[in-house]
Amino acid sequence: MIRSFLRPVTIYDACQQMRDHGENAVLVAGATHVVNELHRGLINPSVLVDIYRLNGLDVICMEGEELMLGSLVTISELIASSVVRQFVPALCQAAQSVGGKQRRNRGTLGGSIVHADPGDEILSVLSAFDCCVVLKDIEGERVLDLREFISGIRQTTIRNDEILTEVRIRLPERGSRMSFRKVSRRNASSSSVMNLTCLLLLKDNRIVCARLALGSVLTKAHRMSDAEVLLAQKKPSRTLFEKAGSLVLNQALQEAESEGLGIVDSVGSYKFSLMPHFVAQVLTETWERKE
Amino acid sequence: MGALRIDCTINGRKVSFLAGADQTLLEALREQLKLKGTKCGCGIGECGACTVILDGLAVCSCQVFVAQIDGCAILTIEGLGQHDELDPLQESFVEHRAVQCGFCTSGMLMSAKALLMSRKRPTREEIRQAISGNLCRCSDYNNIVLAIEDIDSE
Ligand SMILES: Cc1cc2nc3c(=O)[nH]c(=O)nc-3n(C[C@H](O)[C@H](O)[C@H](O)COP(=O)(O)OP(=O)(O)OC[C@H]3O[C@@H](n4cnc5c(N)ncnc54)[C@H](O)[C@@H]3O)c2cc1C
Ligand code: FES
Ligand code: FES
Repeated sequence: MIRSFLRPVTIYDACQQMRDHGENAVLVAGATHVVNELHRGLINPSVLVDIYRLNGLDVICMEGEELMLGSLVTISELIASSVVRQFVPALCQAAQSVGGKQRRNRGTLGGSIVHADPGDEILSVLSAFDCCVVLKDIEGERVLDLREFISGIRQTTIRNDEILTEVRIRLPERGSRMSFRKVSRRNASSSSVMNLTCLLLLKDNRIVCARLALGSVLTKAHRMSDAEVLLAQKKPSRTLFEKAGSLVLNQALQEAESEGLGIVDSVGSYKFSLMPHFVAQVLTETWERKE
Repeated sequence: MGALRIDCTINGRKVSFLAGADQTLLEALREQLKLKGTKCGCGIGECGACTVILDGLAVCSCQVFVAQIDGCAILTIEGLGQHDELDPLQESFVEHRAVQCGFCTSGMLMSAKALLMSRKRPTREEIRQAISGNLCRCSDYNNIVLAIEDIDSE
């Protein structure tokens, strides 16, 4: 049973309260997950520590070649940000595909990342970039690569007395085209059956570099390195993109097997049948996009 | 359960009440404040029946801890219009027959109101986006969209 609801006014106080109450405390941001987990009996804290209105964690800005996003930036704020739209348009597209308007208004970037749902669209996009997270506690901070941070399905390496304060995205080379697409049962308020983030850098009608991050298929979003290698230094064409789609399927099947995931259930099997065509389609769309 | 004192503004009036630390805004609206126009469809953020406007933004009141609204301004369906003086949005819902059983309607209206507060002349696509988190199971989404669209042309 919850005995207290704490509303710290500084990051330090929040970290201190989380340390004081240890495993009995749960951090709350937008609360869209925490409320549900509490009501389903999945968590049973005696203390809630609310950081939603802490100052300074809702900043969106460029610092050199990095886009810095405060952890309390909401999904709606990501969509509205001209900086995000200009430098990481795929993140803007992914944010637009999250839940309904009400969830986007309330849910935060930090909440999405720490919840670490393999279907989370925001996490999927971030996986296509070199991206790190800043974690603070009362002693200081540590900076972790996103790949080290996410350790499994809804699992991260964050400690209970740490707060994710910031996300830093290293911008890809200038001129990169990017897009995000998701397959879902409905357009709105529906989680991904599968999603893909695609980045292409072209010079003289050749692909210099390709990045593909596949989400909602494996235990976490994965870079599809076999297809990335195939695409590099080639001339873009429908045939090439179809081959890349087949390689993504092969790699996803292998990874699924090594992760011990069942793929024969109905969602799994139709997901895999869709995959090659879906990948080819997203690659084509990205190619056709303006730089 | 520790009782918390909440001071906030609801439908333009300052209110102060005691709430439980694990209570949602929806529960407090319906139980302590007796504002039963805000409905509970699913209680897990899926249906939008509980939508209210919190500091100018549409949110699902079942997804917010009431302790988080201390110092905030909330608009619920009761603040939209009165029986003898409906909000133009409500009038338009009636005219366009955008209501059947009515269970989703207060949430639909609050999502639409939040949109109109930020965009004077929303496009049809913006209207569809704004109500995409509100499920209606017995009426017609087209009439709902038309009812909202009609507001800017009046
Ligand atoms: C009905 C519904 C539909 C949804 N649809 C989608 C969807 O389509 N796509 C999608 O990606 N997501 C979806 N979500 C998920 C959710 O809205 C997002 O993940 C959201 O951004 C979570 O943010 P929050 O601030 O509400 O998190 P909270 O509920 O506040 O927190 C989530 C978890 O993260 C921890 N946490 C939060 N912030 C921090 C921080 N700064 N530091 C450390 N720990 C922290 C909390 O302790 C908790 O464990 C949906 C959720 C619901 C309820
Ligand atoms: S009751 Fe809140 S979204 Fe359904
Ligand atoms: S009118 Fe019945 S659910 Fe919408």
